[in-house]
Amino acid sequence: MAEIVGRYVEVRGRQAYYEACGEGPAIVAIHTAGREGRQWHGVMQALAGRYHMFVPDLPGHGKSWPLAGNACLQDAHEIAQWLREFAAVVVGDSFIITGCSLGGNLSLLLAAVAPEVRAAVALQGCDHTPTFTETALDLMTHPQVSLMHANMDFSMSLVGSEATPEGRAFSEWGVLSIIPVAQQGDLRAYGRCDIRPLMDKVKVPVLLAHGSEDWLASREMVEATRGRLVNAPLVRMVPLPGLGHFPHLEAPGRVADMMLTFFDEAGL
Amino acid sequence: MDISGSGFWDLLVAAAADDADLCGKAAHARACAFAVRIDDAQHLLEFHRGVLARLEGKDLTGIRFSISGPRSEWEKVITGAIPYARAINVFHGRLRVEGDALSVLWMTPALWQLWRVSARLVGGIGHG
Repeated sequence: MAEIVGRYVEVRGRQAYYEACGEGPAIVAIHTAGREGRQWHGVMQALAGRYHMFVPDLPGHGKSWPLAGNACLQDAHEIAQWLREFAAVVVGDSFIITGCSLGGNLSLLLAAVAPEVRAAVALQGCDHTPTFTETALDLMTHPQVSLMHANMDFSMSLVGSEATPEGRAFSEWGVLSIIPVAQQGDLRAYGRCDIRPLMDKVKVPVLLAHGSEDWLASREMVEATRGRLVNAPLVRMVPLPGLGHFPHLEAPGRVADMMLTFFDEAGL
Repeated sequence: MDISGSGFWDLLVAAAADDADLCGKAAHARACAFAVRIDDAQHLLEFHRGVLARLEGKDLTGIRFSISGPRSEWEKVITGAIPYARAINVFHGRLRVEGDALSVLWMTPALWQLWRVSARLVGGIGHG
């Protein structure tokens, strides 16, 4: 089994934690809202023979320190900029970007605005996700709300029927160990994300993968996004039957195989 | 099964009382009354110490929130065809939750259990 190594690096004057694994062309992977990079362990190990993956915990998530004032980022463009700064320090000036859910949206955004991005693999990625009300977002840090309880059924309804037991358990752990202010910031970024006008700026290969049992980032939303990627040289959309909102966690081997097929086709 | 009628909700209340998981999750919640509105039909319900009961009459005093929507969407929730979260999602769903948002969140685990029980109930009736 390939070794995964954790390190700290300074980004914007704060210690950011990331994990790296493998050798080869660089891939930066982004976790889902409110979670952390361990979601990607299975994919990291599966790709280690051909790719060098870097997986940061966003500020205030996992082992990364929050920003000044114990703040987390709350805007997709701000998170994308932080990721560029992280990659500039750790990865260099050329990498493949991938991510899931909010991370999928961010992958598409970075593919549009960051010339250092060679290709994007967006799992459950969409360019417009107005799926949370401001009231719901505000309540996430209310003193009388426990997200551990209030979010559990919602979150687990997003997990596909073919998720591995380990993936399902870690998804549940993600809710049990939630950091409300981190979750709130990410879902503000997700709920307010509208990068539709930028999709025609994407000029690198894009893989859109969709866990077919995900009702939140629906197939229709992903297909609409695909329709706006009019200038990308290669766009593939791959359905993942039996999987839900967290394919990389639910079935890392399937996701890794899918990525390798795409990378081969794109000459990456 | 007419999910708009009182008969269904009486059966659901009885099934809820026999479900240990539902009673366990609801037992930790504060007492809370809420309204279910299916098209023009309304049913008032209350969780109190883990027990679900129907409230008599139409007095909305003490009702903390309501869940409203068309019968077609309610049928999907009650049969388990779609998750409750999808049905009430601002983008994807056709049910609307109005009222005291904190009460809604406090009751969320119990409500998920209730729709699990309703799916079992409807399935049982359907196959019976």
